[in-house]
Amino acid sequence: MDRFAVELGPEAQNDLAAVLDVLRVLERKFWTRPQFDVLHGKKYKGIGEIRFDGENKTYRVFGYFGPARLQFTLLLGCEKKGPLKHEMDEAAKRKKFAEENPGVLYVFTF
Amino acid sequence: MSLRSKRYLHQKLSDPRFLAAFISSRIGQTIAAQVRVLRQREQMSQADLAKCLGTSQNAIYRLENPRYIKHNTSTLKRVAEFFKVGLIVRFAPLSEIVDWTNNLSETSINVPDLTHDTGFVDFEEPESVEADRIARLLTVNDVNAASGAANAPTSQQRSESLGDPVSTSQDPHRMNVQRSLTNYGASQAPERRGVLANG
Repeated sequence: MDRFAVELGPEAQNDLAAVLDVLRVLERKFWTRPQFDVLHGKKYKGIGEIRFDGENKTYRVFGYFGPARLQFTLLLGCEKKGPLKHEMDEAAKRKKFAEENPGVLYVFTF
Repeated sequence: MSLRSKRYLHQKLSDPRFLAAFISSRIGQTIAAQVRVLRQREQMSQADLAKCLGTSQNAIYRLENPRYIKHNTSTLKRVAEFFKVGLIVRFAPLSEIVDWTNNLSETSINVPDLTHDTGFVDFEEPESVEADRIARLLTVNDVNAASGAANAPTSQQRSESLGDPVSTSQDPHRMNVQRSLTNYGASQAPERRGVLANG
């Protein structure tokens, strides 16, 4: 995530910071479209995507609520070019790994 | 490196492209989220809000689109009036914007309406507290009268020297009011800090 954020263009980088700023202070019930949406499908249960744009590109950051209350774990960031099945599968894999190994989690400073 | 640190932003904001992106994203994301939350809090659809404001659903959709930054001040004013919140449109130092965004609270986005605006709590003193303050001030006036009115302190000085009982954080009534008001939109925000999985 750190590398993904740093390598974004100025528009996308600012949009990511702005959307994270907005979402982090909102109750979960206000995490809705267009800034956020949940993924559908049993395989992706509990995973959502933060949406932002920049430089005429659309981006997604996959994550899930947890491990503790009032926490959201960022799993994977990517540009949205067509279906993101591979990235969603990777996010699901990382979620499972993070849940089994909470030691790999660290605070994301953005 | 923090994308929001002042040192980083001070350096980056000298780049005109970054500056333009910073201003656009802050306007777009903030207005979009605020309007959406104000509407959702009232359990209104975009169509409902459009009807109440005498505009189209598409206009509301645009307002809630983080990419949209061609806001019309009069439309925003109508939204503010409808939801009984204020609207600030002004130029500001960039550092002020950075400070504001770095210190966002839930009410920065989920803006309380007039009924739930704790900023007016000071004006809602109960009679007993007001009476207590007046009694104490009268006592001081008596002392002043005895020693000569010429040197009598102003009412503001009197309040300061006495320690205004209403303005202290120890005042039990005020604390109760604040406690009850903070229950409005009780914070269940998913994070003050993000957590990131390695990889």
